[in-house]
Amino acid sequence: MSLYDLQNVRVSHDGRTVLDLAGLRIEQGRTYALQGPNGAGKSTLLSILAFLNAPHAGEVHFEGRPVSWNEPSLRVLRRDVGLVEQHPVMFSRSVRENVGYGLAVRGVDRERRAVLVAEALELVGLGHLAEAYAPRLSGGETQRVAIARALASRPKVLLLDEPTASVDTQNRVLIEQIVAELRDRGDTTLVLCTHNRSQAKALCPEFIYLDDGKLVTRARTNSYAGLVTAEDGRKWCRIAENFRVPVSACEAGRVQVSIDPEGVRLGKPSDTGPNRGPLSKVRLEGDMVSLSVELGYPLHVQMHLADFKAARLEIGDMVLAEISPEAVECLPVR
Amino acid sequence: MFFWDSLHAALMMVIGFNAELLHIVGVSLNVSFWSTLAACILGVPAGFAIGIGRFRGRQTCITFFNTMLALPTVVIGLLVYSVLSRRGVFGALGWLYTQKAMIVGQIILITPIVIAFTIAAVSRIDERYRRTALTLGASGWQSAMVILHEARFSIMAAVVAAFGRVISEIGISMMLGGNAKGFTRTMTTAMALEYDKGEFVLALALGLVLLAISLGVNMLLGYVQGRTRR
Repeated sequence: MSLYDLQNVRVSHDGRTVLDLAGLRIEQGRTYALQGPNGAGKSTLLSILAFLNAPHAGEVHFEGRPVSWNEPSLRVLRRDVGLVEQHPVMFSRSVRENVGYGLAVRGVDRERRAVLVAEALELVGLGHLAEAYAPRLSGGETQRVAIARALASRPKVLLLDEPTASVDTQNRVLIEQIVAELRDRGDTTLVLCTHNRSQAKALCPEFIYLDDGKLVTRARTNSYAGLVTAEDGRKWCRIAENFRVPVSACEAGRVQVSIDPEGVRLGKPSDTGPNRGPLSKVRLEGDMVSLSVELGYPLHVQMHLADFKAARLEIGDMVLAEISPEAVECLPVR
Repeated sequence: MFFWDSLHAALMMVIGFNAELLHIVGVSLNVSFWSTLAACILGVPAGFAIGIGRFRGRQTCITFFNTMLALPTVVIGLLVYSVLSRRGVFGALGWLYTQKAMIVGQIILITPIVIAFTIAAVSRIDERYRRTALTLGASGWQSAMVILHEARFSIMAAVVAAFGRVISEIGISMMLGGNAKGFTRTMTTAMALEYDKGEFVLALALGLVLLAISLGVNMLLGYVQGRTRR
């Protein structure tokens, strides 16, 4: 059964549409990676899924029932959802009181609360810090306590907004282990918002990609119309005068191709030949860097921050986009 | 020499628990306590509601209370006098030149302080506290209590500031209390009188007590903050 079913959901701020989803279903017990560039609408979507903000248009169904965005019913719905923000705040109380807060407001008695708090802290490996003053914890510990706090009241859904974006490697690994354990248990639906593609691939079997507020397929940002021809003994899809991509399983003629932004390597350009162009945009997204190369049409490229630094690229540099055939997908012409 | 002799005599007066001194201090503390308590009862909920509320005219409210911070004590004195004097609306109560009149005037003086400082304290609390409480299943009231808890030290500081203002003010006490010995004479009005008379010993002794009270209240606030923050 679908846990969430969003239909024609739209959110606008100051006349600008920040989220526009024709349809999105989130199934019970599954683990989803929520991805997209900054400003794609990920946090807005998480706010809706956490029942914190109502969309300006459209319908949201939770467990098959339409959500009416009035405070009493939202309060009931919010108790089924846990949200861990990128920079969670700790109430100025002990770790135990923080983790037990959700249970306390639900009226769970003291003994039961103590058991559930201990279980949640054990899950995140912080049982020994139960009596510590929560605001004094380190960034990584804070993030783990925030996860325990959200999990203590056994929500049906756990929404994680970049939980490893600002923690050290040790805590990142621990948080990934917690997410993997929750995923394997399968009793909580997880939505993990992350810029880290390798993390998303490792932890999440399902993906939700947003771009400019819209649900897109992963390679949609690099979708072009082109003409497949044979040149130099290989099949190529020519997109523009200076832009061609190798294709393998494509019939000759007009096609729609999409290119995985992570399947493109940027190298030093030769003097002649296609796929040479200036670097026109660089944007840091977590531990990844999103770049644009102007080849007549913009080609979006994703690379790891370390690779980007090693390549010493700057805006305006002439680069050669080396596209592997595996990164190219032929789509039927619409 | 004159100063040191006066200071020595003042210290002896304080250490010896001089009856007149104690009575004056008692009047000051009594009036200040009740006016601060009433200002807190009125000001903390009002400031909290304005601080967390999102309503039309909120900014006007904030500007109004910030302006009220600069209200001179003599203006309050005149205003309350006109209401409590025999020809005034509440003249029949017979409160003029009593501690009650002083308390009324002082409430008007410090309630805007409590409100404005509470608004500032609540507004400084990160929006994420409310969001976090809501996502953990709290009701609107419970999430408001989280904000109140997080802002408690700043609100306590507002109360201390209000108490400090009221115990050291002179205009209202003089105009509405009349500085009647044994009834409405407070530390500040007594100090002014002693100064007029050229008698410095009691004035200095009262000054020492006033400073000690301010120091004590602030130390208590610091102690509570330190204990709670661990």
